[in-house]
Amino acid sequence: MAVEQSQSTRPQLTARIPEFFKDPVTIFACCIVFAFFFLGFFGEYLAPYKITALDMTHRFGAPSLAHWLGTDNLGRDTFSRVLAGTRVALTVSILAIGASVSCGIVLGLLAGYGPRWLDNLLMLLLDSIYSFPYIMLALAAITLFGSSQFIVVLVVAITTMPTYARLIRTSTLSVRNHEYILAARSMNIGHLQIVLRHILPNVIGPVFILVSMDIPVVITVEAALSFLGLGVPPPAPSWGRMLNDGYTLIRQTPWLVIAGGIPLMLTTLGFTLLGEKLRDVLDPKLQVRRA
Amino acid sequence: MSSKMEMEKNAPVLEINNLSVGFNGARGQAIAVKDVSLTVPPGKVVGIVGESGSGKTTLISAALGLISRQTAEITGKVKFEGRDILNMSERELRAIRGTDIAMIFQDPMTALNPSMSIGTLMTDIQYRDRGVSMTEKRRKAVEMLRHVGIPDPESRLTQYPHEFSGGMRQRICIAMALLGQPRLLIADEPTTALDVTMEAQIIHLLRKLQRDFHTSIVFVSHNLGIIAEICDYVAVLYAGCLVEQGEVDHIFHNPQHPYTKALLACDPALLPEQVTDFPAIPGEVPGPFDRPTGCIFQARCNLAADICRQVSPPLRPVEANHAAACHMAKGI
Amino acid sequence: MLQVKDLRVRFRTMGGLKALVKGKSDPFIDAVLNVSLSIAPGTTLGLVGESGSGKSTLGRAIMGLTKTTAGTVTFDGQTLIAPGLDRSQEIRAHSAMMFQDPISSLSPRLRVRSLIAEALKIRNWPASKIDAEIDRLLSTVGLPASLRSRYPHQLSGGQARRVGVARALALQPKLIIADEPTAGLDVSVQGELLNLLHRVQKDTGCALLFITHNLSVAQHFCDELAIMYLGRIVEIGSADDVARHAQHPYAHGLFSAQPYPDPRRRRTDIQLTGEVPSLAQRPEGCDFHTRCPKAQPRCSREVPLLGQAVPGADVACFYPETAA
Ligand SMILES: Nc1ncnc2c1ncn2[C@@H]1O[C@H](COP(=O)(O)OP(=O)(O)OP(=O)(O)O)[C@@H](O)[C@H]1O
Ligand SMILES: Nc1ncnc2c1ncn2[C@@H]1O[C@H](COP(=O)(O)OP(=O)(O)OP(=O)(O)O)[C@@H](O)[C@H]1O
Ligand code: SF4
Ligand code: SF4
Ligand SMILES: [Mg+2]
Ligand SMILES: [Mg+2]
Repeated sequence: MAVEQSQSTRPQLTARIPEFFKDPVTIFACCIVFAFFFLGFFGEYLAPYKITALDMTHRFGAPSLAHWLGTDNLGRDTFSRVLAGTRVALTVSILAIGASVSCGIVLGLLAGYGPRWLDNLLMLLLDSIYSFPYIMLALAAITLFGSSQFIVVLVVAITTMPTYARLIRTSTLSVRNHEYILAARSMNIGHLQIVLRHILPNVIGPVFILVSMDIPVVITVEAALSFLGLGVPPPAPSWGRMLNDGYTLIRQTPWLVIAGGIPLMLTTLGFTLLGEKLRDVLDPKLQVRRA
Repeated sequence: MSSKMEMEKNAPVLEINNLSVGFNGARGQAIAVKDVSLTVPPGKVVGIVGESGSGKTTLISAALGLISRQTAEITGKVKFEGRDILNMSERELRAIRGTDIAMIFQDPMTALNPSMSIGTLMTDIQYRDRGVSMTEKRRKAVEMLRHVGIPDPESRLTQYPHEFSGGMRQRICIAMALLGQPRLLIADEPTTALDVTMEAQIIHLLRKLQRDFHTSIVFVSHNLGIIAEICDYVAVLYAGCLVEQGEVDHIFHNPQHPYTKALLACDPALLPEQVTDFPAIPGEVPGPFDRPTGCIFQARCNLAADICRQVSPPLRPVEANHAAACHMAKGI
Repeated sequence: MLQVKDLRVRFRTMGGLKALVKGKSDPFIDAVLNVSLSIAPGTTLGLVGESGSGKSTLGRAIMGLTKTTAGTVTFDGQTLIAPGLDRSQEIRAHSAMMFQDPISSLSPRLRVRSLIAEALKIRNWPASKIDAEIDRLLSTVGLPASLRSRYPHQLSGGQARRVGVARALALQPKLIIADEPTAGLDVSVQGELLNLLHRVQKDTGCALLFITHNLSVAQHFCDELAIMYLGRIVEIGSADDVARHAQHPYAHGLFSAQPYPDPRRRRTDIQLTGEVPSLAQRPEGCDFHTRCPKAQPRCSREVPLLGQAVPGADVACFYPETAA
């Protein structure tokens, strides 16, 4: 019955954490995510070779004991480059998501809590950003500033930001009419305090779900941009660039495509699964709770 | 009418057996309902009264499977028309709630999704009627809103919950509950936010529902006047325990448990003139972690004797259709 | 302490454009219409009326939480709300409000402790004493200290209500606006709460605006009583007078419709039937004439005004009960 399903969200997380970790799918997803972070931080030190170490005698090498995933057209060790690519993927996604989440939250709160005209203005702005294809934005930015990791982060941050802003805005709009906001105002509590203490904690939950679902998207976007040559400039070992190289060199060796594609796929899968599981735990619609 | 149907007609709609609910907390289990048994006969109105915090809401939420097993330990049996509620899957429960059982919550604002308009809320709730058109659903919603006394319902369908007064929200909840023509209606203080003329009309509406559709009603209220007005049976809860239960006339005219007597005496409707001191029961309800052995009411009872501090009194009959859990109550 | 004069609150019911399209010239409703009242320090004014009659809106408007369209609010001798003037901050700095929905007026992610501490902080309570004060307040309202670390949804309706009271007391107000403070409390706790409010009032001399649906509480607890119908006050006077000899037909109907706690004295008829008119279509003449058993032709033409309809009587009716 809708009445009881729409009970406002007050999840008792502590009670559900053990159950959350019992699910094998969750464990699997967590492992991947953990591995991703671990390799992102320490992969470089574990790599058997330097990513720029050329070995012209071993070009297009098949996997062997010395080179686990073979070598590329310049004789560089693919395995080492995959490991190092994790760092690029991690940096880009953390920076981009971090920037877009923080801007999105601020703009969303402003739009949801602020005056009507500000809301309309911000929504107009966000909608126009939202409808702007990121490839176009990337192309424009790169022609203007040249390609760099910073530009990739910026492009991704700007294009994902509207989603967060809208999410926060919608929840804020529904929370701001609650009696407890009125109660806070009746005590002369300042607007900033109200937003920080009484609104933000009640609207932030879904953002976590979205973040974990967005990280793979960002990684894919970064890969796609790099694939198109618009992303992280060489010789930085981005998975997307490896895929790109792999496609051009597919006649010589299939291993480059596999080596670039599999980590991309695994990471995407891991984060998406985790996001879905998180949603199951946090989402009000799927939970039963007392009146 | 065949005898089988006859039997079904008289079988209780809701049967609660030895239900206990303890909330898991940092300091261990906080007992909110202890060993409560209660039956709701078909077509009857059962009232639940008791101190605030005595577990009325918890009792009915647990009986509807609304309390998740992770937050609380629930023991006992709850049967709705013979079917075991506590062991049902979430899907089965959802299929029952809303059509067969409807519930009106105490706090109307938390029961209405603030981001949906009343019209959407009220048509969404009819999601089971697949074949019915949207206009028909809206018409039914409007009709029900008019029934519960919302003026000019057509134009109010587009408004959001916060644009209604507290009493109107409560009536919207009532309307939503009645839309499904449930066989069991559970109402948690449905009329506290209404003025007496509106209250009288809602009571009238509930009576009509009970008469026309043979709906059973569980009615939680602190307003003893309303309890006397609408209920056939009354159950009195104190600190999670059922202390007295019986026909409404017995409870009001021949209360046996000291708590019931004290509660009835506190009703301001009985006060002759303006006072500065309202009657209240001295003392406090025992907390969830310091429940005494023996009678739960002993600390506030002026009849308390040694036996009360040692043995907890069982619920035993004092006359036909009337039972009390007190050592000093005269049994039969 | 508090003086309200000709206060009016309008709400827009639909957007300007939509109203134009629908051909509605007046897309507003008057939730509160020309309400005047005053409360002296240390006294209690009870506000009773059918649901949706604008009681909560009036309370909010006094606190400056809802914009007023016309009229003035004078607090402690100073006019703080008037057309073009909004110094309601100063009202809020010295008053407290208890809200109608007990649980949803408490911020869901804050524990009881923080909820009360917040009120103490806003009144510049020294940080070192906050903890002790919270305990004192909780015991004043009859709650065990163990509730400090609960979240609002872990409280029963009555417990949440008492947390609301504790928070209001923490504000040390000169004026308390209590919106149905005893709804959801059992009669014994209700008695305790009323006694508590009495005590607080005696100690601090604060004024109290007491909104309620419980007529016996209104009668016994309040000094004065105002009856609202459709945004207007239709009768005002000393609580005993209004309760015993209600003059306005609506007030009369209210007090005679009171349920009595005795199953042998059930009401079989409904005294006042009929729909409450919509605020969007306020009836011509007397607001109550669509339901009034005593309505005369004059009632649907002229608006009876408080104090003018029958000279000298504080009742907005041409044919009050006793005069008939
Ligand atoms: N989720 C929870 N976790 C811990 N304790 C809870 C929870 N929900 C309720 N309680 C406690 O259980 C007891 C019973 O609460 P319940 O809401 O059933 O009371 P009630 O009889 O409905 O009271 P009221 O008349 O005030 O609404 C209270 O002491 C309450 O604090
Ligand atoms: N924000 C708003 N927008 C539009 N209409 C509103 C708004 N707030 C209140 N109203 C309307 O104003 C009228 C008065 O509401 P109010 O909450 O003051 O009633 P009340 O007397 O407190 O009733 P109750 O006893 O049910 O709480 C109602 O018709 C309500 O729908
Ligand atoms: S059993 Fe004893 S203490 Fe309990 S209610 Fe009866 S007389 Fe009082
Ligand atoms: S003025 Fe007329 S309609 Fe209005 S209350 Fe008096 S008698 Fe009734
Ligand atoms: Mg309750
Ligand atoms: Mg109200």
